[in-house]
Amino acid sequence: MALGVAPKWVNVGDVQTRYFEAGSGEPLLLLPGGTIGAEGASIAETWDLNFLVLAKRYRVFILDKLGQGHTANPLRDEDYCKTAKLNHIADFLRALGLPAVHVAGQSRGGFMAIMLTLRFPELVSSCTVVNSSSMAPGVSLTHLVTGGTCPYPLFSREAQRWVFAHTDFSDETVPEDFVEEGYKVLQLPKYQESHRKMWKEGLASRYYYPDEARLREEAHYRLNLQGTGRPTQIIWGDSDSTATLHRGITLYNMIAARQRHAYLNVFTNAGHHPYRDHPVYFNEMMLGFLDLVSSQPSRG
Amino acid sequence: MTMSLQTFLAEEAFDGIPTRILRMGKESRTVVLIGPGIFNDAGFCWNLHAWERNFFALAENFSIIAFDTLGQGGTSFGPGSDAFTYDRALAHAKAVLEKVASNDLHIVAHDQGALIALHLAMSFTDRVRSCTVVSAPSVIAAPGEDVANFVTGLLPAPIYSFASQEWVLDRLSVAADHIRDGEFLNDATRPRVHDTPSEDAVHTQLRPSLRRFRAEVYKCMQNKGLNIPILVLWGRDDPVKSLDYGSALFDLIKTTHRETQFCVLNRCGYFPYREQAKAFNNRVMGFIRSV
Repeated sequence: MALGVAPKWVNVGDVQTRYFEAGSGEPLLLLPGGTIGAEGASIAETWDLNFLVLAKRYRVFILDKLGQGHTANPLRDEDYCKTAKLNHIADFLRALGLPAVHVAGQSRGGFMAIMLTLRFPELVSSCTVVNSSSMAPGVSLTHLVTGGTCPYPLFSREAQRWVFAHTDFSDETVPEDFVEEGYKVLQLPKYQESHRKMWKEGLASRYYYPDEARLREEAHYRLNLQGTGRPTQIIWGDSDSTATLHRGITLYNMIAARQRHAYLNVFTNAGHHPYRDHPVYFNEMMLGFLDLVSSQPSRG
Repeated sequence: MTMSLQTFLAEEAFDGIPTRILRMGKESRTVVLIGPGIFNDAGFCWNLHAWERNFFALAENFSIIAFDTLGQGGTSFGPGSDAFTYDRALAHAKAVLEKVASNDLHIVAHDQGALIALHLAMSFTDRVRSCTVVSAPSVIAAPGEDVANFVTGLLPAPIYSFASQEWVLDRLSVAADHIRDGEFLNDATRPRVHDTPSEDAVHTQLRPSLRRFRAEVYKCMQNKGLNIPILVLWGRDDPVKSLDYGSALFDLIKTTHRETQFCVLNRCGYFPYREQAKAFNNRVMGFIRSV
């Protein structure tokens, strides 16, 4: 139990969905990055240095997104896409009957945080985006850095460690228990099925990437037009080899031009997971931001 | 707020110079606030009331020290042929810190005050635990002509009048509500006790020492750094000190500092601690707590 509490399960549209919950107060939803069937399994435990600290003052949830972690795969091939994953998050929040949540996501979780805010504003009270290469304007280097270059066998512990260490600033942020939790996910039959569907049967190119491109285009159009509509914080590790800092600043400027309550925090010597590289800084900035926006008379 | 603030103000001599100083709180962890202008060189009589929207919020967690640097507000100039140098301003600031009991100092400094702050951190390596550098283009070389020159070159006459100084604050700000609020502007326009440096002193003392101080900071940042966490904090919409300056300063500092943060506040000009006081206090307190 790396997160210190037992996982919970809820049926979301016939998809068995795993999540973690701790604390009380205004709800805060943490979204891991990654996608279905990737070489490295993005897991809820990525927030293990933050979860219980934030839960001292907020009711914190971590969700295994559709097809990721221990949450079941999409029921239909055409749902191997971001739109289905986004709807799954929205349905999860409705299933739990939560009031509007503070949502914070990293990488593709940050992508989801922005899309959730834009498409389901009634579900969101503030938005935090951490090193989201898929959402930031400009060219993502993710595929150059990690795509197809892993020197270790697929679904191995070494591969799981390599994927995260390769994008983090320090190997220290990828401890053995973290690797082991990811390895367990890689061994799940459903995970290996999703990998086969995405990369061998071509669902990635047929559904996932075209859908991601459409959503990103929609997001940029709407961000330029109206901002997020909710207080927004961008947190960026400046040593991220996949999501370079200037793209994070460009994303911030895009939002801040329309969004009064927009904050940028950059950490040095931090890679793709700054909340793991500098958990104390991250937790303070996160709690400070939540304090700030929770007391805003207007959430705009 | 203004009335109660008076109870925390005192006049004391540091380095032999009568100095206005504000002290709050008894916490060991102490925040030292240093204002932007040294020697009132930009058409405004800087004074410690600049931080009036921050004192009480920061004092909930920390002890507070703020003082008028040489020639600012209620502090005199020193005597001698080097009266208008940054060396004298630093010696004065050192004298203040030497009388502060705490060994857990966190300096928060604005623009030229940050040059003093970073030199203090170089001197008191065992006592200064962090630095927050706020809108400090003076610390780095200006790319091309310093835009601020276009502001000060347009000062309405008579300079240092209420209207002229209000104009300066207006040119530097995005949010206007802070300009006449509190004592900052009033204090700047009270009958002048201290002269500004002569044109000759500006060219022979102030400017050369400013350039040397800046070079020394560069040298330190590029070679070994300060071994303390540094927060660079900037207003995104600073009308004359654009965010590019902040990015450049962050890039300079991060080369030698493992723990550096860059924080940007939106809808905010040259005075983040006044224009976005609540957010400023929140970010700075979070940074210092995490050090």
